[in-house]
Amino acid sequence: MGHGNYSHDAHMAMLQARASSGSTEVFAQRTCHPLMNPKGVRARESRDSPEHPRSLGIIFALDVSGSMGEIPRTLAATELPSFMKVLGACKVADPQVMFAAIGNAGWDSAPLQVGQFESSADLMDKWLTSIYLEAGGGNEYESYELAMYFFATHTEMDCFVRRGRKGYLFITGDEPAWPALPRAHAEAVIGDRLDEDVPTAEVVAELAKSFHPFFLIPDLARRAGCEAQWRELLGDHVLCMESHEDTCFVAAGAIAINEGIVGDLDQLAALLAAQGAAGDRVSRIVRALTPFAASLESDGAPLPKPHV
Amino acid sequence: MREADETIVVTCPAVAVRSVVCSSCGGPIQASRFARSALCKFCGVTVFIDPNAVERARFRDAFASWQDPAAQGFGGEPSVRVGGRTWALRQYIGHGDGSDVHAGTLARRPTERVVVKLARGGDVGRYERESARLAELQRSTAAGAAHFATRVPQVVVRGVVDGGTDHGRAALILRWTSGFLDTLADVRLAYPQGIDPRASVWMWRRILETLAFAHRSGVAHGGLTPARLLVHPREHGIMLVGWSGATTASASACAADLAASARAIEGALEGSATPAALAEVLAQTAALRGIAGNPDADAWALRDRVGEIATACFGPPHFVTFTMPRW
Repeated sequence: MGHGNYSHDAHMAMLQARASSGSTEVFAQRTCHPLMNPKGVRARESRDSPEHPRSLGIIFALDVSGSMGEIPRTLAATELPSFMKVLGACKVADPQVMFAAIGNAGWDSAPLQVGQFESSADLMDKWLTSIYLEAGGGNEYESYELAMYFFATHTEMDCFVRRGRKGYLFITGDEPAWPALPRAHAEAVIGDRLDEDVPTAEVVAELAKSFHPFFLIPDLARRAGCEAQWRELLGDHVLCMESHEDTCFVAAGAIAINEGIVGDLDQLAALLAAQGAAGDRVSRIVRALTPFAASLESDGAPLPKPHV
Repeated sequence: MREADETIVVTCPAVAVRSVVCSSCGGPIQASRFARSALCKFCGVTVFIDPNAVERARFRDAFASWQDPAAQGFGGEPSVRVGGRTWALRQYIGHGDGSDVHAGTLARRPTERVVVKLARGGDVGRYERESARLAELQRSTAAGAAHFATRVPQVVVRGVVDGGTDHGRAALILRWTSGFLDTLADVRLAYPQGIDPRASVWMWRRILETLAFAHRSGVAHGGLTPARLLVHPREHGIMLVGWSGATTASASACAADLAASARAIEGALEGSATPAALAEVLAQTAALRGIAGNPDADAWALRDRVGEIATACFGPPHFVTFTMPRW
């Protein structure tokens, strides 16, 4: 996977045709798409190719329960091209994007859906819109740990295997993860036979070997329900946004900062503005990324002054 | 060819191999990550690998490595272990109210930048009280809580240092907030002739906004001093820190907070040409005594009044650059 070329113009043309249609037409799946069912999947692969010699695996794992369904809709309607455009402007040469959807393994019929890593607009869009928006919810947890387990153990990325460069995982959500991955869920949904349940922190530890994992909270009002638990796992990789519409720009900004493509948040703001983001939007994105940038000392602030 | 069950010992995705123990002779076998079988070089047995079996041990090992500062690239840095995690200590940034304060970072990746406060003996309940009050503010449902809760320190973990030279010291670990490096006392030193009165307006209004939020959440700071007011010069932000003396928001406690905020601003303005109307409201507020039902003790109302006075003195609000050394 990972063949094809990304064209911003082609992507925009495709979305213009979609502007008039409702989300039920765009997301037409009423069950899990058979090709997105993770059961029995050996590995999702992000591979180098002659057209994409320095592939970088990027996963968007979208919580599709209840009110979180707005993010896939916004991505499909308008925002995904912005992400690709900003990555292009950041000189991230060969991004390969995979979409996945997260529900609850306790009662959803499709608690985990996984696409493939793709480089071209139409194929990325195909997987995104093949997601079944089951829209369960109303519970206190989602099966994020099951998704993280899958990404940790069932992906192979040339960026990591060949070049030792970790891929990126962006999980959107507004609930805590279950404290542990129940072995029954791993077997029922993926087909793996674990000898014991695995604490979620251990899943994250395994995941962090090959990915830079991020958790994106859609707005400040939803911090209270999940931020503290996620910060215990992911520290400053928990990004609190002020609007779910900023998901793509925030993700692209996180990559730009982490890869050292922009030196600090001022440079990121200039880059986003040059890509057409409005001033207030740039401010929101910069605020969402400030704690993460501070953790890398890329926030543009001086270092703390030693006390004498 | 004999078949044998296998035990997966380690998986190493970096090189896409896993180590398998031969169940016949116990010898080590290197199998590619997705191999269905592998040959034992020692006894010649072909080991068939169950492709769906996954051992918890793999994740336990990953976790152990994740928790090991040396394995995460933090080896050799001074550190403290609090709440089951190791925190690397970076700059020593100050001491006050019985604490040594360090900038620090969680010694693993993804990391987390923090402020580490270590008690220097004395009042052992201080951090417990402080974290309880700060948690109260984080739980607040007062108007604007989602926003204002980010303007006060957020507790990451409270506990006692486990092991090392600091073993047994009480510790309070708080989230790092970008850019809040200088206190109002530092501002005073940087501006011996007094700050621009226009800067004092945003400083005081930011303090009053946070106090209004705290008071409406039922908490009074109880110990505002210039050293407990952190300034973000570029964003025109102020954070209130040092909540160990916080109390329930009685009318007198709220009035005392407002008076302390006015005194701090008066100190920063000392020497500058402060317009009379602004100087007057500062003096009135600095002299506030807690009187139940005193309308002047409402932080939000005072914030609005300061805004009106500022407009009368300086015209409509506009951004006035404020700088500090090193910025």
